[in-house]
Amino acid sequence: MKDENSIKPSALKQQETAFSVSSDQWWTEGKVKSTTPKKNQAFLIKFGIVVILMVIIILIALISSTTNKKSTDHDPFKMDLAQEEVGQQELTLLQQQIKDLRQQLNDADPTIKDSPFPNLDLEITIDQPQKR
Amino acid sequence: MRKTQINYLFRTIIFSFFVVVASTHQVLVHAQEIDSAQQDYSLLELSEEVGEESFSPSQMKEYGVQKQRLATEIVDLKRQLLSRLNQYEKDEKQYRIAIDQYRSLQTLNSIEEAIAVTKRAMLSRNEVLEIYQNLLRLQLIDAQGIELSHKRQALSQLEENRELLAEFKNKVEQTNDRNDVNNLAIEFTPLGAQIHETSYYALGIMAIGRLQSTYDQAMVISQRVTSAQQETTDQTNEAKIKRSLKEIEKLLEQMPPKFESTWMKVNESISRRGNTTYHSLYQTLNKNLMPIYTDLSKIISYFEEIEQVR
Repeated sequence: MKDENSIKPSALKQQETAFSVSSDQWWTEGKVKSTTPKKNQAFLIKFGIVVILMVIIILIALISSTTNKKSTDHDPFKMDLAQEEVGQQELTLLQQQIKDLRQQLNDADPTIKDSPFPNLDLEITIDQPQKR
Repeated sequence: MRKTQINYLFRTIIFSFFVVVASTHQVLVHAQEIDSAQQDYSLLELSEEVGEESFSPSQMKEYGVQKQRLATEIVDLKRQLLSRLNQYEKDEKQYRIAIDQYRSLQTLNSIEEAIAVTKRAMLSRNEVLEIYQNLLRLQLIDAQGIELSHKRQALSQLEENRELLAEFKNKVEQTNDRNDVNNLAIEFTPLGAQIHETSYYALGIMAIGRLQSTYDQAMVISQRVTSAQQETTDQTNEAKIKRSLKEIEKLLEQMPPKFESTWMKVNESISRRGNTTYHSLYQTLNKNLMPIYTDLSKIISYFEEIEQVR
């Protein structure tokens, strides 16, 4: 008795060839198909990097603006009050004012040259004779 | 086709983003500069009002905040000036070497090198002068005890110098020819002299202003010392304290004519420009200011003695 479900050797061979052909086709087709998504992916990665860079730049700008503001936002009066409090522990207000006046006079000493004119050559040239 | 369109769109987005960022930055920097300049001048106006004693507590607070900001800017500019001076010294050294080589070798290469190095030294000097003029401008705005007419005149001259320096910088940047560089050097001579003179004018009036301001303060403290002594002195010391206060009063009364004669000298040098320079005025001013300084020191020593300040 012959089993009806059994596959004939010739048919099996045909099936094998068919499979090998289709797998080759799949491989080459897949390869072609996969290049388009890969290009899209590269584009998306590029776009993503640019977006991240933009966000970083904006963040840096925000951080720097807030830190700049902070550096100028301190209250000089609080500092003055704190200094006065320290001074008052030892000196009266009038004594402190006299001390400050002495400091002010020391700063006004005419022999002290604050920010003098910088020592520069005002005659920089190529062909004229140098006076230095 | 679609892909190229997307690419084109993508590039346009990136380009426009950078344009927006750059222009925003420029606008912000410009706005900050304008704001800073306006604040400087509002401080000048405020200080005038404070000087006239017609200020409200809010104005006083604003004045204090602006003064603090100005002090920070001055410190920052001093730092910038030091660093630029270091750079200038390096550039000047290179300039001298290149010029020596050019004069001894006279080759095409040495000419090229001389042009490049001279331009660099000129630009470096320009930068130092720009910062220095700005520093003097801020110090002048911050200064007290200066006659307003002098303050305003010096400020406008400093502003003018800064503009002329900016113009000169542009010219140097655009020049690449040896003769043009030589012509620029000739062009700079009167500008350099003007900057030199204005700087000494500003330094001179600031030196007087510092002592004038100390004197004004000494007048206020003298009144406070007098009233404090009247409240606390017993009868045994009364005569002694009265004599001391009289001594202080006498010294204080001697001061105004000395200041007047010093300001007169500044006025004279303005009207006699050409014969005397502000540099020589600045040097002679020191001789005039020393007696004022000594008298003020004596007055403060008396205060310290009466109030027992150590």
